[in-house]
Amino acid sequence: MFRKEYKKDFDSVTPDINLIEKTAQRLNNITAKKHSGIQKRFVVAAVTICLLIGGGFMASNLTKPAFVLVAFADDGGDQIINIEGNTQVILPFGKISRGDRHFYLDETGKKIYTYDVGFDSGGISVKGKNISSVKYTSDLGEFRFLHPIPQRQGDAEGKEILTTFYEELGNKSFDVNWIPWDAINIVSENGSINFANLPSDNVRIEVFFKNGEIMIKHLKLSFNNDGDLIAKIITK
Amino acid sequence: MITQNAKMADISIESIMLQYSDMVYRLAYARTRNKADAEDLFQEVFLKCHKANQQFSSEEHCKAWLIRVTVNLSKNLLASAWQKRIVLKEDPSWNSEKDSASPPENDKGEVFYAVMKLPEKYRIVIHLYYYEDYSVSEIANILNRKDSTVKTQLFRARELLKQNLKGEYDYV
Repeated sequence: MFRKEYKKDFDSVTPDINLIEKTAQRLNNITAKKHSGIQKRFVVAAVTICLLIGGGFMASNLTKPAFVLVAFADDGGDQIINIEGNTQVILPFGKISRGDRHFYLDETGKKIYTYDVGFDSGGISVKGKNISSVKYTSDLGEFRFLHPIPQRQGDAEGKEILTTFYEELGNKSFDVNWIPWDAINIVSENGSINFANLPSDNVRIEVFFKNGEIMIKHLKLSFNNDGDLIAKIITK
Repeated sequence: MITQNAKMADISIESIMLQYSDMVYRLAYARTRNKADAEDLFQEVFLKCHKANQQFSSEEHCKAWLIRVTVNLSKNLLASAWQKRIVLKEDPSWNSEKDSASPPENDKGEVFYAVMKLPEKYRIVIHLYYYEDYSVSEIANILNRKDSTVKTQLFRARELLKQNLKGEYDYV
């Protein structure tokens, strides 16, 4: 039986104890650095809070619902950037690349060539106060929302998805992955490729606030020659 | 052992590493086919886990998160390795990568070598399906792929394995 043989072979693939010790040491070093930085961050936070309290009275009557579009890499949450203004920005996710070429035999025995495709996963989100839900719509790609707590049953995917606010997630409630299936399929197919010629996607982000207001932004997502994913806010 | 509904705040990163070290390392090895790269990837995964300070709702959630991060981080590693190579290989062969890979383990059976010769995308689904016992839809969710894509990859992987394996195997 294949499964039994495979498990038997892979059971002996285990990390060296030295690797585990080395990794534990690196983790300890990071923890130590984190603790030494707490005091400094506390001072910064305290100053920020004072400024917010001081300016709060003036701002309270003037502040309108607003949100910022952000992009994040799906690699642990380190890389997040704002997408603002009308200039193009390279996003921290979505780099598309071509890997090894392979073939398989179709039903008639003909060789079909394909390429491995690398796509650094990640997505977009909105940050702002008093947002109750966000609707994402894509012309060519697909969105996916996976609730980190499987029991919440909030998962959704498709060209149009609605994400709602979860207390336990905060603004992360609106983090959605974007997957350009058309572009991925084109890159996997045989033949030469220019990433900049891959189809661009138009994304509509509709933000619903708790006070009933709705704000909409449009985003154009495309690739440059190096396969980086580029975003630009479109004014309509 | 991580208990159901426990949160990462309650469990040290060291405990998570000890519990999932074999799982992460095996997946990293299946992905990279190379001890040195697998070790680099192993460290990166747990450093990410530590930095992300992710809240886990269950063992399965923690495991799925680690698998996803391992696969995503390995893309960067494979991409950089790939960019150094110029020649595209038409016939994937583990032996053809001797220059960049460690010598194959010599205590493994033909199944191990046949899987190691598969293209990278097939190795991952084969490993998650046959070693970690995930279903097709669970693999699709973890890897952010469509069910149909995972099914196709499993089908093609099995076809390649049948071509390369001398023995007759039941692929259930």
